[in-house]
Amino acid sequence: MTVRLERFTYDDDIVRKFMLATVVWGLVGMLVGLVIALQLVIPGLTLSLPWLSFGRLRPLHTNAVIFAFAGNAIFTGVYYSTQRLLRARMWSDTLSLAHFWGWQLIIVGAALTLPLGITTSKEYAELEWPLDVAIALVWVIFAVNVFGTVARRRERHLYVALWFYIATLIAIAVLHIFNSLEVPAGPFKSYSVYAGVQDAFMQWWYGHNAVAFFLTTPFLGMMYYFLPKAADRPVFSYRLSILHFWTLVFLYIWAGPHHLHYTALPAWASTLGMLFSVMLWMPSWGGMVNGLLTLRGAWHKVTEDPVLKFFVAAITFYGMSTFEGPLLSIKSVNALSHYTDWTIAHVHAGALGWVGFMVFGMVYWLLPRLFQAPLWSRRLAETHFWVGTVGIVLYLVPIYTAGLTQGLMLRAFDETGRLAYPDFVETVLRLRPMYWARAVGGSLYIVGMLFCLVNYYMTWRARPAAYARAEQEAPALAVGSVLPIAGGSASAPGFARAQWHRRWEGMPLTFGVWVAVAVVVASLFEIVPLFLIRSNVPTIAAVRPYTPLELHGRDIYIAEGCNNCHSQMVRPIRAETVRYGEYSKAGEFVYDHPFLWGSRRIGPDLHRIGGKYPHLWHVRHMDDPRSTTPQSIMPAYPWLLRAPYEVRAIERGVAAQVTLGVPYTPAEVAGAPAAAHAQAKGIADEIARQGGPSGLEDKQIVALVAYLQRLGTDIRR
Amino acid sequence: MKLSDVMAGARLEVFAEIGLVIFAMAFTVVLVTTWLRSNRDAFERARRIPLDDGER
Repeated sequence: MTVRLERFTYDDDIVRKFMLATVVWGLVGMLVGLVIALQLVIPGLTLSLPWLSFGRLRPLHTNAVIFAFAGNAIFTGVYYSTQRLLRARMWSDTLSLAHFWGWQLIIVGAALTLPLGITTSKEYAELEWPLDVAIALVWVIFAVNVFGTVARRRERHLYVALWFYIATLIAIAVLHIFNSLEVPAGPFKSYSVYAGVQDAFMQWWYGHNAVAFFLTTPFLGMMYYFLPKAADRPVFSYRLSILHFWTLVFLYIWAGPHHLHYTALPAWASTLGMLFSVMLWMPSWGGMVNGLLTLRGAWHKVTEDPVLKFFVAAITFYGMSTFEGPLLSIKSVNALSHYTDWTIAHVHAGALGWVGFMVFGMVYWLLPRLFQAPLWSRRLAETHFWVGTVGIVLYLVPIYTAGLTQGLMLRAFDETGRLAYPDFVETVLRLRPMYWARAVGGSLYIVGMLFCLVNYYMTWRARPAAYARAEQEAPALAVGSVLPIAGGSASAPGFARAQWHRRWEGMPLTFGVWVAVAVVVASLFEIVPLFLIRSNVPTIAAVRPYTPLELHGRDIYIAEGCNNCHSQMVRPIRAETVRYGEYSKAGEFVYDHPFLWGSRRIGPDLHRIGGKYPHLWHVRHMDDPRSTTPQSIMPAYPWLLRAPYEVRAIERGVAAQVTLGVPYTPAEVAGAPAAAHAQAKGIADEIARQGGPSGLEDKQIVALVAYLQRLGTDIRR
Repeated sequence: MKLSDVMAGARLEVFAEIGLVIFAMAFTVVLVTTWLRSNRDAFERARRIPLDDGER
């Protein structure tokens, strides 16, 4: 029988576009990171400008690095390797372009809205609802294009890298859609449909699995493709890669609650998250070992090849981060590490070491192939590796030290049984030298990125006038046929045998459905009891909805990103109840759309701040934090004393809360502006009586003070 | 009667443990199948796919 060969070319133009976006956005995202790192030691660096304040720029940094840098890198790797692994051009060049430009527009949208204070407050999901919708649409375009390519592939077997890509496509869609369910309250404002404990659970179900399925599985897929290519060795164990894949898919989705240990989340959910997190250590190290052993017999190449250096270091960081993750999920360790810089160090070990170095290795491997010219300077790439590695070490060592230092100081008691460091700012001041050292390490990493950009530009300059388009040949897949993998034979007994898994992953739709089932079912095992069993969130009769002015103050708190530095969750730990007051209860958050528990304490917890200070203290503190706390590193918010609050936003906010089930009466909704004004007048008069400025009754500061003074006070009624 | 009352009375406290057992079983199936000798040749060919795409 004669086999008709089909001729085709790969679309490398789209890969070049995504690769350029990767390095450019990577540099932008990391520079923003450096700016906010410096703001922690030079608070005046915000220049008292709203759009430069830490709370607004921190989500810009995280979103830029995750979705712009890592996101574009994922698409670079996926578009390059998918075509070659499937022996097919992407299904639609138009969809590829729509994906590219759609994603870049979303990034630009994020860069514009986040500094303006347009945010949902939910970590790594801060973008407001119009951008959420855009993300969903662009993701669907990406998925259609990939599945379309899979459908018309010329390679029967889906190589394991593609399984990781498919899992990413499906899981991210599920996570994004369900965590982003929100009720709009205007063109740039929305409220999460979930409240309090349930919102916290959904957020960290999303947040942890964004790490899993955006920063891990696609990069593992890239590891399983680009590492064998660079080393010219097949992956060490294909069986291990299958186990690696399925165990990650089975286990990762359960682990999210470990971000909420000792909070108001039910203990069973938290314990379940811990158990699955500890189990994750095994497949993660299986993957790391599989990656490193792929270099068996090729270690001599590592000494000469900067690409392999980046890959080896990246896989090593993957191993370290995935050992540390389970460690941090253990409750007793988490009690110390949570809310401190230890988490920041852990995240950056993964982001700079694993993700960043995988990206750089891939970029250096792709540059000569995509631009059809030799890499401009191998020596500069080597220098990038060493400067970047030293940068990571200089970043991580002080920040781990900072995390441990602050964690231990916050829980220290003296011999009389009182807090050894009762003033929170004492613990922050101790960290300043470490913050400086971190900024130096981060700067070095950015210098390495600049080297990469230079190499990129110079290699690009040496490109030919027109790129040669290598024509490929491969036979079409016959329906129902079992084609050989190149180099094999269709009649080879092992391959031709109808093994269930091989047949199964040869059916991408079925395979995708089962991945979705694994992700959704695992999620439902946690979500259903949490949402439907009443005892998980015991109600408290004294807890009532916020007044319209308090609700608006809460919106301002969200817009300024206060939750990036302040938690609202007093854990039932003695050091916290002594420092902050009564521990936080699930029933106190039933009207909190969204929850604002935070994940890091650069400043103290605020859940029991209500009534602790007079109104005037808050006004002075927001206007100039150093006037009330001389050594504070908090940025100043003088514009809150000048900018008027928006009456229309109050009306829209209350109406949206009613849609969410918050029990405001029709009279309360209709009278929201008047009620807000009356409360604002009372607070402004009180501030004036205390010797503060007058005329604040229509300013944002009054709404914020109203909210802060309400925090945590319901249970005292 | 609300859905939450029904769920509260359904004694779903063991729900999560049931899920754990189901997923442990699924993992065991994957583990056993992956290590079946009959799959060895297929996997041996599959692992070479990236190297056989004609590009270096």
